[in-house]
Amino acid sequence: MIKRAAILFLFFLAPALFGQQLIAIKARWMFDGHSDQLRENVMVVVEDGRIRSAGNLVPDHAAVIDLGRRP
Amino acid sequence: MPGLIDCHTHIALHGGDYDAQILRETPEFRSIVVYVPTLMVYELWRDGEMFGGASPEMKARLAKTCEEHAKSFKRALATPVTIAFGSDTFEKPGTNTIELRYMAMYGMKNVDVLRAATSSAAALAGVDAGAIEPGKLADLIAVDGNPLIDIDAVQRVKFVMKEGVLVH
Repeated sequence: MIKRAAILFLFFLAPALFGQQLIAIKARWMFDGHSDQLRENVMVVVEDGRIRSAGNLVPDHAAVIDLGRRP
Repeated sequence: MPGLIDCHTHIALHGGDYDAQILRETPEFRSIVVYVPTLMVYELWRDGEMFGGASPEMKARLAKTCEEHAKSFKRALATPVTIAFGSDTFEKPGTNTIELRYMAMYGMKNVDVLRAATSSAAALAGVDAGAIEPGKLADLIAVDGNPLIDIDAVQRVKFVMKEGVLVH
């Protein structure tokens, strides 16, 4: 069971680890580099190494990284 | 200071004797200069953590330098000059976030500290990153806590992405 969980974990993270084109990062709060306020519950979508969007939508086939679930 | 304008230098580095008056009275200067205070390098040097330590005499001089530097930084905060993050602590990789603590401690609002370390620093360095907006390089970190409340949250890095690749 542990082995299976580890494999699933790697399966979901592998695209990000190896630079997959489309990644969605779920963040509780986000500072965008300019604003005075943090944005809440944002999905940052990364494509080919660059920011594609910062909003609420998760594109189809995107690998999702939920920052709230990271230790 | 006028020499900086004439030779098109864009960075006022360290800025221990920063003159706020010239900024208020010289719009041209304001528009082309970015101030990078590098507060921590003197503080760490004074505390014996840089450059192999310091003699008692040198520590006394550095204490005075730190005091003047902090005053200079506070004067700069009262002007509209752009302030960007930089540490100059090449001897101590991985400690750059200490600079953010000093910037906040000497009166910069936390949100302005974050801007100095992201969009302002990236713009100064000519890096196409520093902001989360479409088209920018995906150079991202996640920290544990809210740095607008506690600037030291930036030291608790839980996630690092460099150009879209997860590195931590």
